[in-house]
Amino acid sequence: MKFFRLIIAALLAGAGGAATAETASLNSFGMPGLLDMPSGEAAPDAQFSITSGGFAGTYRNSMTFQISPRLTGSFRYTMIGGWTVGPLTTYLDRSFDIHYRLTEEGRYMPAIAVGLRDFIGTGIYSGEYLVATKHLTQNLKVTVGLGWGRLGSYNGFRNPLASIHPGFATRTGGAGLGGTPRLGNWFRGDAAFFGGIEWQSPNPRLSFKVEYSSDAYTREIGTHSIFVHRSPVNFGVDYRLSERTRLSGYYMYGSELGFRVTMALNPKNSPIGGSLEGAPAPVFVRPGPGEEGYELRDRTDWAGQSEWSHSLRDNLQAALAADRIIILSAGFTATRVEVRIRNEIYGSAAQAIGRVARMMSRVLPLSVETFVVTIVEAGMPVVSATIQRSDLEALENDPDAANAMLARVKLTDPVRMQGDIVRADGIYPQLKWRIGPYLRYSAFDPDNPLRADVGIRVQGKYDIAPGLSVSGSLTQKVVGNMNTVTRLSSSALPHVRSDYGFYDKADLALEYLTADYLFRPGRNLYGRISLGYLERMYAGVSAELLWKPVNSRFALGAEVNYVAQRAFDLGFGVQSYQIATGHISAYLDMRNGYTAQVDVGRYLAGDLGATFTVDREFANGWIVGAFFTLTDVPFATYGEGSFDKGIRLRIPLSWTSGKPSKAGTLSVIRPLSRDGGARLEIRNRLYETVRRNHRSRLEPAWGRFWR
Amino acid sequence: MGEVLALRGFSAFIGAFAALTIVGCSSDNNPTPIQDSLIAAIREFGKEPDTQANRRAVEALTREQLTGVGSNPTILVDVEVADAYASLFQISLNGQHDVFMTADQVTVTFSKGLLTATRGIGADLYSADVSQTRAAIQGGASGVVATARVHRSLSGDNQVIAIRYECSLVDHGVEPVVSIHKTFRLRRYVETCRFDGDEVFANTYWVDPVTRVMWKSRQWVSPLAGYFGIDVLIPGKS
Repeated sequence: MKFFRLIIAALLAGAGGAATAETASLNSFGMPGLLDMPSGEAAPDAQFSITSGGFAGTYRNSMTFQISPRLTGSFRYTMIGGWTVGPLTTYLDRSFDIHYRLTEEGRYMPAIAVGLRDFIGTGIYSGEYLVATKHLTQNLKVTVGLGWGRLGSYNGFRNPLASIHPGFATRTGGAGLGGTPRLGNWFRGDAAFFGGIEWQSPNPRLSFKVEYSSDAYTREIGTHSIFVHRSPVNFGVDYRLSERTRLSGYYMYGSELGFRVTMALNPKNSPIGGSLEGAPAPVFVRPGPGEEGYELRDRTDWAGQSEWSHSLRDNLQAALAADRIIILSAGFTATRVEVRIRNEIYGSAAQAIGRVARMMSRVLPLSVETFVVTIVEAGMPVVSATIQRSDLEALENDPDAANAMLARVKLTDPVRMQGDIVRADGIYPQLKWRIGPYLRYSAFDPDNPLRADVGIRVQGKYDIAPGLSVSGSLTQKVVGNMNTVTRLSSSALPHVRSDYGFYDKADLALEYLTADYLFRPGRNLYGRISLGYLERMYAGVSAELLWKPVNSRFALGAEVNYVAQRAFDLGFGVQSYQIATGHISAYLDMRNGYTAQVDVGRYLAGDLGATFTVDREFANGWIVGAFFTLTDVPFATYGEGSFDKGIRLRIPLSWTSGKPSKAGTLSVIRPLSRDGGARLEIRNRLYETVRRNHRSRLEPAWGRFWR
Repeated sequence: MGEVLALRGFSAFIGAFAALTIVGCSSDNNPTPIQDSLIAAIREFGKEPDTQANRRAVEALTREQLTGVGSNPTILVDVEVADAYASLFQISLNGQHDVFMTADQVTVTFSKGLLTATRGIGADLYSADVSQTRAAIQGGASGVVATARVHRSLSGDNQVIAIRYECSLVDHGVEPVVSIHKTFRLRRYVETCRFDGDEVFANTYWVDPVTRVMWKSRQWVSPLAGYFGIDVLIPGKS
């Protein structure tokens, strides 16, 4: 009996995957396709995949995301052994692809897609295509396409688009600094046909592919003599190792053997098949008219009596201890009770609200009809959920309980508490600390594509009063090679980020040490002031103001900072470089899980410009997004990459473990770290802290209210 | 080389991330649920859970011993997919719904014996609208009755997914049935449910022909959790 839950959980942990992720057929660039060539298909919506493989010393590692049912995006890191540039014998290249499915396959209609390969890299793989794929039988599909650029380099002919405009006939060479979309080259120059066949064998694990490639690998076989191109026909076999993983082997261009591993997962499907925390307490239903105890609803003599208020608060806190919900304060009247809570583990605030409300029904006197659950985040009350007790009683077993409850609950900006107020003791002041391991890594340096440090991190936070705290983090490196960066920055801008190698030489590092005050300056307003060693490279002061109504999909913010660059030893010293930076930010929840953010202002190198961010956000906490920053720094001054850009990724720990947790940090992956368009890294910016408790985040995951 | 790098990168990313969050010590005395399960996993590592211990214990006892001195509604649930067996006691009554709970905080909700929800098993049944089936059985259906039921589940992305099943409830007549050392004469109903034309599950209910109490049943929970076999010692209060 004790293991009832564990046994089922263990079982599902194994079984969950089987019923979930689909692995779409991807090509060697990690995009929907055959071997090197693309297809007209798309991966299942939201699929996130990693592919890694190569042939003839060329290795491609891609991270691909099905951004919407039609749009696929990919970031790739390529290593080409034998492609010599100066002293380097391996060429390292980052590139982005985008693929848009124009039509879905129908009875007669093929799936048709248009795509841009390597459209903002240095452009060694640059090519565009229009491609169609159609199933002839259930197990056999055929792909035919027309390619330009690299995809028009084998057996190419005069661009048919040239008949529309002669400018399409020629394509200019030269990759330059990379990083910019080279619009002027798209669909220009010679074109060529490509195509292929994919056959799903009767064994569901095995499928076979053959393709005719229109990529001549001109520079690989010419200038760099990396391999010999004997034939445009490639052969491949895919073996489905598991639902998530595929192994592929292929014979390329009549001369080379290759391999690939593809791993795909879908944020929409939990690997556990559900969440594993214990059941919530059921609602206690008050006796109805005519039932024994009904008259207790009229008993209100407890209200206003301090010992009653204290004992009710104590009972409720005891009942919620297992849910790690802390009651900071509570206000009691005969018919309405508000509790202000800190939610420590539930990634979904709706779940925390639901659990508190149900427990209130079990603890509070029968005269209380209105429950108000107010969530306090970082010391600031951010949302009040007002729930009628009779709705809880009536809707608990409603088949459509989630929607029915959502329609009845009121979400508002918290206001002053009413009635007899009880505040928790021992919340302030309080010291919290933790000691644990840490990992730091850097990728994509041409000298060493992957560097990492491992060591011990000590973190502390001293809560002085609501919203007011002092925090610090210290790391001691134990082992690693992050200190081996030898590449000196040649940036023409102030070296606001590009001297990162010097900072990584510090073994004992003060990561941050700040005094922070987060507060509510007024209705719908949130404020933050931070002072101290804000991040690894900067110290100073930062102030922020955010306007964000609880039920609004729109928010505005402003931030100003005055900082000095920190000394390379990551101690208490600073260097002479000082700068005032600041941004005005607009945030929009575009519904259906897409969010946009624009930040306009002054960056660390004194450059003026704007950052554009689009995220796809899942109701379970996954975020996959991308951003770019354009400033008044000319691309030539910025250097390699032309401007700052990158990918944002958050994988919540609760998704992988099935256990409630708020953990899961947003990782930013930049192909390059340079000085233009660089912003200060602030740990506790207001928007995310606030919005995760507001309607636009509560609603999509409202099903959690009853969980 | 490329392969190894990316594979390591990926698993190291997830692994290191998990480790960094879980490992270490802190001022917080209460372990988080994730730490809890990690500790439990370490403690139980290598041990085969004795899934049949409960069943043996139950079979060794009489009905009177099982119900003990109280009269609190009690049921026994056989989780076929996990080969596990648990006893549950009623902890709540809300109108027509009885909530039963195991000792380790799994709850199962019934309406007149029909399963309407589970919580805490992972692949939970979020809710089931069984009003048509309930009306048919409580009304003493005979022959073949067409029913429809809507099952809801919570997806990995926290979306409530509703599936409507078209079912047929067939009365197979009264037959002798053994439930926990006692032979009953009960009417057997089989409810076969289809989605999009394909049969998905078939529930079996054994119901007292007079009182309409469902003493025994085998009911489908979800694709991953499969069927629950349910024996009622003391029926719920609804």
